[in-house]
Amino acid sequence: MENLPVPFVTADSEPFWEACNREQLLVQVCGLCGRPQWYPRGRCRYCYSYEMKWKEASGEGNVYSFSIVRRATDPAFAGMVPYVVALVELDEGIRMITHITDCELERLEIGARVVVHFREQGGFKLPVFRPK
Amino acid sequence: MNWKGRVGIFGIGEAGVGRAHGKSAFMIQAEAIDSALNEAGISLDEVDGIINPNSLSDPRLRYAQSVAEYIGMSADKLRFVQTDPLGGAASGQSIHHAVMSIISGYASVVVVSGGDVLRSASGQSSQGAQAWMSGVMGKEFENPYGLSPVAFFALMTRRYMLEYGVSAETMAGVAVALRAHAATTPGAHLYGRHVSVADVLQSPLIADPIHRLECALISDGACALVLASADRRNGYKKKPVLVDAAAIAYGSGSGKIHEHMSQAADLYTPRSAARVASRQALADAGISLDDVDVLFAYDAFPVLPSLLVEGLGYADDGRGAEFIAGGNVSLDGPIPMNTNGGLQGYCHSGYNGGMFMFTEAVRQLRGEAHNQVPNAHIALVQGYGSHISRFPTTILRSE
Repeated sequence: MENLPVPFVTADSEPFWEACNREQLLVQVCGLCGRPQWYPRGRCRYCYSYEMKWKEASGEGNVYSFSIVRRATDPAFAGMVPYVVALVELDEGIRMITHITDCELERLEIGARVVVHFREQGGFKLPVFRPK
Repeated sequence: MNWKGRVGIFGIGEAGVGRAHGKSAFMIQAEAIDSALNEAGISLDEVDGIINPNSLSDPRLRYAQSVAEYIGMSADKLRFVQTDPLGGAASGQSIHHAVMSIISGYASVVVVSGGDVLRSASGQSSQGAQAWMSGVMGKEFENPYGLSPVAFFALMTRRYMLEYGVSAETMAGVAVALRAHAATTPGAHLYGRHVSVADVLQSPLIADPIHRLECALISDGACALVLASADRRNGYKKKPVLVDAAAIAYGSGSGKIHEHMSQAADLYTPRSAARVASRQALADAGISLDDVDVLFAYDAFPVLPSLLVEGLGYADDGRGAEFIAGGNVSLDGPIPMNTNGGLQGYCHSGYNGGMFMFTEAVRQLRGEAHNQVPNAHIALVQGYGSHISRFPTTILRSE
């Protein structure tokens, strides 16, 4: 499974990926209006403040939707099929694209409780989830 | 905006639809542009604007300029040379940009064209083009997870099916209803090919719950439209089809614009945004939905036109798939839709795939379509693009 794409990291997201390497999932919360925000950036999408704070997430959430990818569009993923790509809603109230691993494909459902773990990919540790 | 009747489409052209037979993407675009100009009775040297949505198999930063260079357009004449790489929304938005440039006086005769050879892939391989399309997803938080275009729509589809209790048979029926129109359209990629619900459900799952026969085609094909001020109607060969309204909504639901799927408030933005854009367009055109004779809605995967017809007001929330699959959009139904078979059956050559909604709409309004809707006078074209974020509505009318 070589040549899988790795995240294009920016100055905004460096602390996020550094935390992932320590197997910690961070989310941003605005220091002014208190709303959580995904993906990491330097400015609050809602109140326009520059007071974003990092907070360790609970690491738990629900499957908002998912697909079992059976044919890879990007040849880099051909060796991984079938894999489950999902939109997971964290308990902190943000949604992220991720994978669901370690599950029985035919039994996975929208709403399933999932918990984060980290998977090595090209020198990064990507946050992925498995059923709780 | 009162744009009603101020700009017309004076000529349309298509080339290499389905298969380019060894010709390059630029070559079939040149042919499409030439036939559109011939129809209009306008010479290439009169054209002072060109808009192009870029290519999937051979993307270039200044694609419109690449086409202009290839066909030898006049440097002295050209004013507006614009690449609109907006995915499926490019078709509608490029038409809007052409109208804006003509009404403002920035340009007077604008060619909107697009073409690609995804099927024969003389640029990259077809697989390469698809991989590149995956690459247009978010570089940091989507690509590393292999969120392919099909998977993206699969997330929407699964949530839609669960929330509204829509069966796999009904979703498949959407593809069947639209592909049926291609079967009776000579020149369509799937001309003569009849598909049943069983065929769809027996085709392989690409990204569960989406089957192969529910995916947009991978075609070659080019098309072009020539737009100019409607005042010039006596100067050209063809009577124009008039652009009566052009409205856009950026779907999000959170009140904030978005580009990535994770930023949308829900996955039903095609419904909420089409509702906003179409209401604006209908008001600008001074008509109601009942006045629309023929409908075009972007149909890359069944969930999209299902949500779009809900937003437009043809079906209640969650009933769009049933509406389409149930015969309402057939040629003798209450609102014929995608009468050439759309991206499901006519042609999907990448970014310009949605542009064939406009060439077919023009044919319908001239009374020249293969699957002609009797007395079609007004068409509504509902575009979609850029990861459930952009929704252009365009209303066209025959004189």
